[in-house]
Amino acid sequence: MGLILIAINNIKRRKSKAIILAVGLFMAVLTTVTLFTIMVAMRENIDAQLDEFGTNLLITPKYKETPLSYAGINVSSVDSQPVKDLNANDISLMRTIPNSRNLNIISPKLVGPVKIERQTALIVGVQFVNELRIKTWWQYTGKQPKGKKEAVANPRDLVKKRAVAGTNYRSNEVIAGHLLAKKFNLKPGVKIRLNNSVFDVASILKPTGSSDDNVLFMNLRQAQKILNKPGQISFIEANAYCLDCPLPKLVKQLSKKLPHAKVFGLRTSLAQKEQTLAMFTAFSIVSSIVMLIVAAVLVFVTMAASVKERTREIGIFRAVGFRKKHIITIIMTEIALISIGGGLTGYYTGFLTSRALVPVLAPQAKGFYFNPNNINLVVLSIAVLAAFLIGTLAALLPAVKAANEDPVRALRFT
Amino acid sequence: MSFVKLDNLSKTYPFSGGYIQALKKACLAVKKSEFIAIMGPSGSGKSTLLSILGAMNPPTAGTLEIDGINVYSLGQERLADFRKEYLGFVFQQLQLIPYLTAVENTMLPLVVKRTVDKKGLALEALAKVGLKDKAGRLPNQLSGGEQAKVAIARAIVNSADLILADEPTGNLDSENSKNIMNVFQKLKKEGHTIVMVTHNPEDASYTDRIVNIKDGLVSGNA
Repeated sequence: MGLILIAINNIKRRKSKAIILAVGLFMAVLTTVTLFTIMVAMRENIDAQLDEFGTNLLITPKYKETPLSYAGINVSSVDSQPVKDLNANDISLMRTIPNSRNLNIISPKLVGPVKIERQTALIVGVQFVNELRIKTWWQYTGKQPKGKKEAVANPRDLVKKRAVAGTNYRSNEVIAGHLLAKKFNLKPGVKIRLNNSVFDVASILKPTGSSDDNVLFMNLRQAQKILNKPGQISFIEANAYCLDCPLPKLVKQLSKKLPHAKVFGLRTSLAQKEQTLAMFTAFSIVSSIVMLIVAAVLVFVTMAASVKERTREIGIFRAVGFRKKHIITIIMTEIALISIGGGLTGYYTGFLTSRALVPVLAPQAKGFYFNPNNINLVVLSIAVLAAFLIGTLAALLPAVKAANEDPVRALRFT
Repeated sequence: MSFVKLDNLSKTYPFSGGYIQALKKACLAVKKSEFIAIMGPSGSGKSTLLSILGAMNPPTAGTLEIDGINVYSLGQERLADFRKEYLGFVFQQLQLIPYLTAVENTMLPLVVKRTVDKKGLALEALAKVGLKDKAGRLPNQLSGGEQAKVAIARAIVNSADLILADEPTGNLDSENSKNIMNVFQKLKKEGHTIVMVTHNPEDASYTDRIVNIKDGLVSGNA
């Protein structure tokens, strides 16, 4: 028999007190693990939803004069000329920045006027694979784009299939914006002549409420060809994962790599989401701290009561030759065992709780934390260590008090 | 030569803004292997004397020497070591730990000692008091007499030179009291020095000498 066995036997004897202590620590760990896991899941969810938020980087050429325009309204009578046009080489350069892995989608565009039925219209040359990944809110009417006959219900699915297969839209297919299609009476399947070239209208966009409604989207190379601007790009939109790489950092790196271009970081919807997440994070931290403090107070009060209850027993230990450190060891072993038990069960229950909640709160989070088959050993270790530290620190004062108990008084000799 | 020597030992306790003198310049000498009884009315200072002998209650004045060691010159933790090495206690209420079995209770003083076969020694001590066959029982599964025997076994398991017993038969019937006194006599023969506080003259008759104490004054110290 040793000090540890005495501690274990005492836990067995005072089961209800041990359960109260364990439940307190269990609740604290459960809350902390659940909130933490959901918080991380929500972060991952934002990461996964970046595509839906659209682009967050815009790269345009630098202009000789400051453009006099606001919200799409140009008030300058003089067309400002770029210092240097963007081209395909700039995309290759973008891939060489230190944080290039954070660049998710790069979508170059060429914008220019064309004649349709003697009227001027605006075309936008795009890489459809990337454009449709960015514009996930686009909806279509009409038939699916022509090309290889593939059984898909949505043009986006077709693009995805083709992207996987390494193909793209056929070069003579176009997507017409809602208002432009209305103006020129375009329908899916009709042919359209642009600067002496004939194209198939593959799809008509449903109203987006944006500039997309007024333009005709076509393959970038075809646009460069009919606008007679080979290799040229008007601007580049990009989508970046920014959770581990602040947007300003990306902007700085890109600006350095593309000195002839102006790089803008767009933080609108993402910033809102991040603000919400920051509020949830603050709530989680405060809730966890409150729970941990409550657990610590519970341990302190229960252990203080337990020590008082065991005064006589401690007196016996002291009388038969136990040193103060032996008394402290017994009490601390008890609370350590209870804390570890509370921490382990709290973690596992928190894991199961977040496993149930994450699919509802953050459906796109698929990270390590939420894989039902994976117990995260780092989080588990931290949870158990936190429970252990809270338990032992809160019990330290009662344990020292017990060790200092006067054996004569404890045994009521006097 | 005296194994235990009290020299002009006094003890006062604060009480109601003043002091109570529990022991007044007590002198006592106990030889090795002597079995003495301390008798006196309630509140006479018996328990105070026993707690001072037990290295747990420093006197206000005077000295206590056990085996030539000036006990209260030791620091608090050294006093704990001293109790572990030299003393065995049989408390008035026996004070067995309710969640430990008889053998585990007996083993208690050995828990903090570097002893190899703790259980073997504990069983040996239980055998000496005739309780080896009930080693695995919890205190509440033992009779009062058996519990007293476990308390005695715990007092002798560390080969204590000095056994201090505070009314060990206080809650026992005459038959069990007789048994316990026989155990003490056996221990005395084995070389243990025993100081027993009792109210019972019959128990005192088993001892070598009776020391009386009244109002903090010790007499009969032959």
